[in-house]
Amino acid sequence: MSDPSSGGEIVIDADLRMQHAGMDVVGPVMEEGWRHYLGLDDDLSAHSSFRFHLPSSSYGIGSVSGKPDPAGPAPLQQVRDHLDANRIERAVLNPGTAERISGFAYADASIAIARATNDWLVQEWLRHDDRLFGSIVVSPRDPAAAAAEIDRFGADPRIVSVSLAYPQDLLGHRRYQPIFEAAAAHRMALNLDAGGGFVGINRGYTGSGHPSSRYEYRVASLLSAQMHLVSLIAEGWFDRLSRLRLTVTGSSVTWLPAVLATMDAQYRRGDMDARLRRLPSEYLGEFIRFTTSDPDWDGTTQAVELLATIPAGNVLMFGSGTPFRPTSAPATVLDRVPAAWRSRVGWRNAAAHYVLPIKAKPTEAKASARV
Amino acid sequence: MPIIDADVHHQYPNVDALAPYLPDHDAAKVFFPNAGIGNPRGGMRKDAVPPGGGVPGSDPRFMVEHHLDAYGVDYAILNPGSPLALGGLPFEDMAADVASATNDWTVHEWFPVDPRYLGSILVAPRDPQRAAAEIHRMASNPRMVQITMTSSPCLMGDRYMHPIYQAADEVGLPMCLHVGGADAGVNFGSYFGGAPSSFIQHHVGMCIPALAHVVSMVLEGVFEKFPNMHLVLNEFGVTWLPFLMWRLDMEYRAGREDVPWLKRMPSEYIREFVHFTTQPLETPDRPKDIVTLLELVGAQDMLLYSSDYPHWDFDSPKYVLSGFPADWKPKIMFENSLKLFRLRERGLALGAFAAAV
Amino acid sequence: MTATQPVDTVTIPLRDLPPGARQVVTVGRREIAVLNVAGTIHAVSNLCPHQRAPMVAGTVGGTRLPSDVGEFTYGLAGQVLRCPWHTYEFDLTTGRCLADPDRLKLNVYRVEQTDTEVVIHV
Repeated sequence: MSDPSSGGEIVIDADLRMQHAGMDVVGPVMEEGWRHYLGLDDDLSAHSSFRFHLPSSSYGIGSVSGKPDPAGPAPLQQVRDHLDANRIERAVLNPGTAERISGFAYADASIAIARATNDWLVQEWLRHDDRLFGSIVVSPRDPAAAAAEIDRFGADPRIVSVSLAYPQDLLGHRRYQPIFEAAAAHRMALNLDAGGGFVGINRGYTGSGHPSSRYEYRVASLLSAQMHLVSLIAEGWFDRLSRLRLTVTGSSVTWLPAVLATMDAQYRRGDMDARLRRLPSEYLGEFIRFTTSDPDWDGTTQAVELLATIPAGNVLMFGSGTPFRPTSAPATVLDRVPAAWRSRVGWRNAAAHYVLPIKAKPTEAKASARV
Repeated sequence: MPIIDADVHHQYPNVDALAPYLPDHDAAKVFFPNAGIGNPRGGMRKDAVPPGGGVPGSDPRFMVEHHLDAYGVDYAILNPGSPLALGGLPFEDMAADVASATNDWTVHEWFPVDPRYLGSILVAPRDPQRAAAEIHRMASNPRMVQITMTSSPCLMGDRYMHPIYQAADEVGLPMCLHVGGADAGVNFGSYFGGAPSSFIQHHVGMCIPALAHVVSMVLEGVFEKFPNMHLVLNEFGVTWLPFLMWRLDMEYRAGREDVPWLKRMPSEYIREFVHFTTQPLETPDRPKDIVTLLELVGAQDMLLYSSDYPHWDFDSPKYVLSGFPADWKPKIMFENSLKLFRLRERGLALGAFAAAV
Repeated sequence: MTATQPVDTVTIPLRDLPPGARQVVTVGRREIAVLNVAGTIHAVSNLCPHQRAPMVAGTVGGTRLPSDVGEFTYGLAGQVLRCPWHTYEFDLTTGRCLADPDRLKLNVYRVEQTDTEVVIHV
């Protein structure tokens, strides 16, 4: 329960997972017409038992994990217990449905379901605990509609992030410009959430075939995150939008030094058609954060050794994955990072990245929420 | 008039029904990828729910009463409806195990209920060798009258798929391709140009892969190499045939040297080897227009009546051919199927049906 | 169901047709689907003009009204009967198919409703 490694400091959990079990949950907050169209209302005939479903992973990932235990405490209570037990002062809720919305063929329905999910986030989660902040989910199928959805929450200080899972194109493609502009305008961090590569209409991570096992699938998803990250940097979005921020969740991080080294090397050779204002790796410190909620922290020191080659202390944010991903307590994760990183990984990076208000600032450190 | 219904879907009550037939008896591992787009109005006839509840098409006795008896169907060729997305499942061995289990389930739980039920040997196309082995395992049952699959992982003429056709050729069964699964899982979708964004688009576009597969199979010489195998296309529509046959022949005159193994005009292979189930039949404003179009290519000899029971877009045998000439109706309702599936030779044309035909 | 003489009307006790209930009455060769939709009784021909599917097994609800591109306007709540097979939509008050109103139509029968009875004029 105690958290010795963070030296009595507060903790911010940058990756809570709230996941609705299905559309029945968001039906009550959906517009009437969509509720009817999707079969979520009580049909007057009582003859319609059909329920439209979000697409799920072609690898059945959702069928082997990620379901709440019906006999256990309610998800909200699980989250609050987690915050209490670990002295977590702030937490960011990420929508676990992002990958299913990202791959949804029906563009208009994906927008309606994203809207309902976001209203559900505010009503069923954020309203019940001041420590909770939220990441809304948007559908990449219609970037203009996604931007409108971001604007809808622009005045809500509790919404600090915008999630989307792997979209149909590489993340840096100009078709997504409205999403980037809206997120930057409202200073919400863009969250690239792992998944969606083989959901619904999305056809693959690799462009060269499909993995034949869940193991291959999970490893291949890292390649996808790499390609989206390279794309966003290389297309110059951090030059164009100085208020844009990117969070990468659920995608591991140990590959980052190698990718950055390759990007810098190719850039120096003049392989890029366009000029960036900085060396590619230099966007990392100001703009890009990775959460720790992934298997890199499963008990070896390998991750730290690799990450020490880049300024990883500035890049990592503690994220637990509670309650729908394998959970790591702050003590477990922060014990494994070098002492010099702990305060930043434990809360400072997240406070600045999401511009979170901190109630009780520790005396020995300056909490500089850089905006 | 006798009726052979060449496309009827029997459904698992739930996936646990497969457990007795799976090698590890663990149905909890089985899942089917979905297509990213479903029918917002539901995929089944609303009046086909069995009396005890459950999935339409999952109760073999109710199907007898609600479909075979109600419409006087003499034979119904069952094509498993639950695993239509099987071709999109990325796990090759799981897919092959599910196909085998489904075939055993059909034989053990449906055939004993009524002699009018005939079956299709389901294969998973991502592992053609295992598919071929499954064909040989099941073909000794005379009531298994065709092989069926959904959603090829490649164009169907590709040599990757030939082990399946080799087995079909050896056992003398037609190969059926049913719509479904082209948009599921790791497959690339019906629309080669991108993803449709509503169900109605999806349901129109699901016909498109058949054109590409027929071109591929004809030109790759599949019907020269495996002359004992016919192709049955389920639910892909039919009025595109004139376009495809004329275009193929036109291109052949120019590009014959690309495919020197063809011995006849491409359209002749289609006439001899390719068959179409009727449902869902295109409905022009003037019913006689479809007859005009089909007559141009002799399609009255290629069509097999099908209902698609219990799916939502069911075609009633009483109405679907109402605009057709009288001499076409017996061909389409039963004669073409009787011949293609060799029911007499298999000892299946029995009783009142034998007397009527 | 109780059919009473003369044959040009059919009377059903209202207690047999509570909200949400539906039934088929047969008059001569006519099959009529009678539905209680939230207190309003509708009587239409039971056979879909397309392929003679039983309309009594259809679903009742609203639908999307004609709109501009990319907009969705919900309406006709409780007024649309959808065929149980091919999901054609029919307006319960006019009988017309929403997608093809000039060619596809269900017969609509006049209904009189008292505190205890429903009278359908055939």
